[in-house]
Amino acid sequence: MVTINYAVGAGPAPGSGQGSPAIEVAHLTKRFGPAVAVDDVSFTVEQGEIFGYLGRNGSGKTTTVRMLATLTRPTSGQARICGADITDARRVRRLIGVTMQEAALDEAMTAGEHLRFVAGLSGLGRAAARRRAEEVLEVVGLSRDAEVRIGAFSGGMKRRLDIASALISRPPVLFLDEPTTGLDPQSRRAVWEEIRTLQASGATVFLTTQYLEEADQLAGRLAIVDAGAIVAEGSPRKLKADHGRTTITVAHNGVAGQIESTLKGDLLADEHLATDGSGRTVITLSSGTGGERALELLARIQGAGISPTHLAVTETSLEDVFIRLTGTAIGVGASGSDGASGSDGASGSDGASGSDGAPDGTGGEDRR
Amino acid sequence: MNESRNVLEAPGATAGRAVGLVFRRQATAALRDPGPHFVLPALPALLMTVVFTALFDRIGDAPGYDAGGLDRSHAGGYDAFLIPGVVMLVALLGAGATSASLAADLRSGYFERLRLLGARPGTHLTGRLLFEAVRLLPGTAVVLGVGLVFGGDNRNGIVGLALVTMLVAMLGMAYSGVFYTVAIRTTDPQTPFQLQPLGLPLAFLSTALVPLGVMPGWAETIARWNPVSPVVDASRQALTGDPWAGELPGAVALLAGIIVATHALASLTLRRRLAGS
Ligand SMILES: Nc1ncnc2c1ncn2[C@@H]1O[C@H](COP(=O)(O)OP(=O)(O)OP(=O)(O)O)[C@@H](O)[C@H]1O
Ligand SMILES: [Mg+2]
Repeated sequence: MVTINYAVGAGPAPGSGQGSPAIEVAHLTKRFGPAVAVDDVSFTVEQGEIFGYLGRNGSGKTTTVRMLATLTRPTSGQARICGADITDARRVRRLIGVTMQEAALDEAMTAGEHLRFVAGLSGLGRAAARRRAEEVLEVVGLSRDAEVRIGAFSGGMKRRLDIASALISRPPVLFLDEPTTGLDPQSRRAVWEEIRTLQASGATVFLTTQYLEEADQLAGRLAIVDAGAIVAEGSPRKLKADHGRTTITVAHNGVAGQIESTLKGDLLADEHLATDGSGRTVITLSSGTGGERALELLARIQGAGISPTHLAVTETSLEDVFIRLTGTAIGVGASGSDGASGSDGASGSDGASGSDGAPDGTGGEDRR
Repeated sequence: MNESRNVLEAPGATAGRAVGLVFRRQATAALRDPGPHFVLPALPALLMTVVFTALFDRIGDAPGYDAGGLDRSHAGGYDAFLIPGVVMLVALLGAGATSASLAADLRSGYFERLRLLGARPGTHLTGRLLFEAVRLLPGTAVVLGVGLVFGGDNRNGIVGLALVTMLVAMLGMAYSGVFYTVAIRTTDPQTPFQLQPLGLPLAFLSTALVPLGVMPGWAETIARWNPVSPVVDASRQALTGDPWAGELPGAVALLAGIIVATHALASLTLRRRLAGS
């Protein structure tokens, strides 16, 4: 596999401010008429990071990317790419590669023609454009399809070709707007691999997604956006620690009452017990606690002579965090995009996490 | 890989190179899909050459017939009159084919992607414009060839044919700006087909097919003001009269002016659209 050295060994881009963050955003806002699409967002992405921008449909992800990529003018606020202000479109465009949500390609062209065209328009000479097109095709694993008409490509291939076009000029900063939406799991993983490779070669990646798993797997840090505004920001681990809750699910032979009376005196203020649909007892632990606290409580249960028929300790998923922060599940895919799905089993791993939406006051699904 | 050192190796193509690349893309697409690009423009002109020379052979005897102001003794029959006029239909019917991909690019977001690469947006118009001229050449050659077989006059040889071909190409370029303007506004890839009917009055209400003298009064008035008429007259002169006399410089200047005007309009429309987002 070809390794592209994006920023490694590259002298500082003219005026790009050596050591300045890859992306700096301050109070960026976009209104369409009375509607606020992006609501006063601020964040910083350091060079070499993969920064996830996680939100459901209509939360302002694309609009944010379009503003940072100089395609849409902000209503207010500022942003810099490697030190270059986004109002200086010519300079910023030299620093970025962009793939939009819908792969924009001319289906009548072959992959090679498209990439040579893109390379040429970027300023490469004929021979260099040809070479570069071959290189990026190899990066995304499409070398053998170079002379195939794009119209005959699958959705996943188009997406990868689209990413390849964004790599042509070796931009230090890449904006990928939902690069895996609509792909099957295998293609999705292939794109993930590519994104990791890009990061390894020095690129900074701004990645929007509505897949929690994707953000969890790829992003070093991420922002959760809701209705245009950032509601939380940090590494997936930090977000889980800050906002997530570990749960213990205890399956037993109808001794819920006994468990409750055993633990009653031990539970902290924000811990609670509940019974899920299958009669299992679900213990939600205090936020910021994990395995140790679980062992403590389990020791009590054991001490009381209760023997569970089955036991699961489940770490918080990013989904739980998302629900907690935005009030509803993210509703990926065609179904259930608005609301209510936060309540039960369908979501987290082995059912346990689903049940913690109910108590705890915030649980109301119709918050929006 | 040493060249990978320089991050900013791609500052955007020069205008000339970008125009060349856009031209090439259009040419490749047209060769793959020759129908609308090469064949369609020639069909109406060919049909009319065959039909009109057969039907109206004796129109020269009609009262008021005047072969476009040409010396009767030189002008020959209706065949000789028709060919340099009907060939202009190559530029008028089947026009603006490259506006389809412009509309499609704008609609799909491809244009936006390309715009981020640094080359000026206007180069996407200019490259297409040049290809519009080139794609009309095969059709023009075929119509002229068939026309000569059907009795056209070609006393000026290759010079006359070259001048007529140039006028067709320029007319095609001038007219394409209208298609680009509409395509940018609607982003509808069907634009060339939707504007197709516009070519009919431009062609028929001009001196392309019949002389002013045999037209009804209202048609004559329109034909006098139709910018196609002076172009046709110059074409007729180039083929069957004195190529360098009177009409030609005026027609070339007129076409150049229209090319500039319609493309200024298209560029402005494009700039407005891009600024509006
Ligand atoms: N050009 C526009 N004109 C008017 N409203 C717009 C425009 N573009 C976006 N919006 C609105 O702004 C909001 C944010 O849209 P945006 O496309 O940025 O969301 P998104 O997070 O990318 O959503 P998705 O996951 O569906 O792609 C939406 O309410 C949308 O309707
Ligand atoms: Mg979007």
